[in-house]
Amino acid sequence: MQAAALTEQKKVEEFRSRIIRDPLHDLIRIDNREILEVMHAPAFQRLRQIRQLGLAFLVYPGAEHSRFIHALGAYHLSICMIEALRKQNNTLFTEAELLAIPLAALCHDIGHGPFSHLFERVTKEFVDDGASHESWTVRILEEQPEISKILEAAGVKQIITEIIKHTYEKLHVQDIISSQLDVDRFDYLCRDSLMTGVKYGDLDLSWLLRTVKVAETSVGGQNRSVLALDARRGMSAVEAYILGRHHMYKHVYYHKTIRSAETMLKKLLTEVVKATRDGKLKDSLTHPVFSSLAKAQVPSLDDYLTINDFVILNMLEQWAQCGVEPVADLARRLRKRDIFAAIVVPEKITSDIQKGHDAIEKTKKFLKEKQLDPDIYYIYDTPQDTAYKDLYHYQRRGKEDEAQDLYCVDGDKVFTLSSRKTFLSELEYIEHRVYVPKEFENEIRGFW
Amino acid sequence: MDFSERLEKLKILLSAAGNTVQGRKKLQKLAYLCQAAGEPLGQSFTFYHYGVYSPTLADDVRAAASMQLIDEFDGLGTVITKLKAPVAVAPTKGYALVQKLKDKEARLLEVLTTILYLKSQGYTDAALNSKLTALKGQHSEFFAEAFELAQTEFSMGQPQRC
Repeated sequence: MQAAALTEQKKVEEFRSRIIRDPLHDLIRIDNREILEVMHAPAFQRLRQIRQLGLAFLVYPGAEHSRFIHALGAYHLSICMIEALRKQNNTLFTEAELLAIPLAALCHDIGHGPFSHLFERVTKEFVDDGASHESWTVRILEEQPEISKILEAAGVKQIITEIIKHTYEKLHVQDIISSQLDVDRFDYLCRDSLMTGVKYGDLDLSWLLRTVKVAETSVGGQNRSVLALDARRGMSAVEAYILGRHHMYKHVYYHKTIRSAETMLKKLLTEVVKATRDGKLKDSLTHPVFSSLAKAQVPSLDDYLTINDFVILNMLEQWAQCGVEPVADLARRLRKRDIFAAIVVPEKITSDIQKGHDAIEKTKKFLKEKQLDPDIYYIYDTPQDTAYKDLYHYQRRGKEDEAQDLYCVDGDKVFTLSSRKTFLSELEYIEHRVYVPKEFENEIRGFW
Repeated sequence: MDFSERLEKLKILLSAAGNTVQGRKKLQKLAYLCQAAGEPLGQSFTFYHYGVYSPTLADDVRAAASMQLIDEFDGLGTVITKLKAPVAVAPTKGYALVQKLKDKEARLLEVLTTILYLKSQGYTDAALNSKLTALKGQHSEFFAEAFELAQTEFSMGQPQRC
């Protein structure tokens, strides 16, 4: 006990600032003990083993960056944003918030599972609640002993969990972590652009940060303070940001090969859970997380924290040879990068229910004749751009339908970007696709 | 749940709502309530400025419109969503709740879904009431009815008043 106390004392004495080199932001300073302690916690370190862009590396070889570096980037930008806002008004944040915001930025993605959003979609197949990465983030912050203890000792646990749950009352605090102007988006767009080599997402970050303000406005009939963009100085920067995001969705996040590979991996993991449930896979070929899902139970936090991209990729090798179909076939295809081909469904079919139905039936019949289960080997996908939709598509015809608008301030006038007509409102992207085994692409294409 | 399954569920939801829903906000809240009552719709809701919201549901509505399955048109400052070809409504608790609440005001549904969301996030009693007031105080005239609905439809106890 005394030794433990001495060790603790030593840790307190030994704290010093750290500098981390980052390809995007250059130098990231860690000036705070709590930030460093959270970073060192195993629950946070596991983010090194979770790729930010899932299987995008199959198309963009540089897209190997992890949730770990993205979290550090978001933390860094939160410090920059706080500093910029405090120069405008030094009373915007309490002392607790000044610590809670960077910690929330650091931890905002701590609940992600393997291949980021993909694993959420798998767990949702088996459990109704508690499957989202936000739910896991809250569980880690509240229940994981090491992280919880750090936040508790710092007196900011409640603020951080409320920010993550989106129930924190000061919207301008919450908006730094989750809004159209949040540090998460700013970091992932720039970082994904840098790491994929797709230049469209590169935005004028330093200028955007200078043009963000806090403004008072009515939100749903209640006066609230929100993050807003200085319309006089920042409109060009924000237009470029939204346009860049639109292109990133089109060319990276919804790339046909990446989406196809991810839907294949989702099918594979779903089949692994089913095979676990049916006792077809021996214990060494499954994982406690899959065993829980097989029983329609939310996995334990301890189990969840042991599964990551590396675990799945390692198991892929074993599943490919397990002899249990379709697990083995899907695993073999993913290993060989034998990704399902994408067929874009033409408008003449998407707009005609009967034609669409006929094409689906023909495809399924064809696959059955080839001894392939259409539930596995036929996938219908409708990627839609989310870069602009929150801003325009959902609100341009009615203010009440706002989800997350981008607020602008011009002098003392606050307005939403969607209330102004710009070229951005013309941007729309939706595509209907079918993914099928590459070897049958030509035959199936004829049905569509 | 894949897109085609979600689409089928959306069609049933809209049929349960009388084929037409006035306001996208209302559609979001009805979907949340339907799912909270035990009917899986394949949607994940987050809490935004205007309460619970599923981006996937918004995407699905948009996709359904592009496939000519539904119409969206302006109506008194809101967007009206109309299902073109109604389908049979399964006799489940979730859809029955939608049938029951479809004519209620969107603001009441916003308060009710906020109560349920806060409950799902671990807020209880006075903490829930306090947080509800902070987040939705502008709709306080609907609090009593919303709490009553939460109690009758979701067996949620009345929170202690602050």
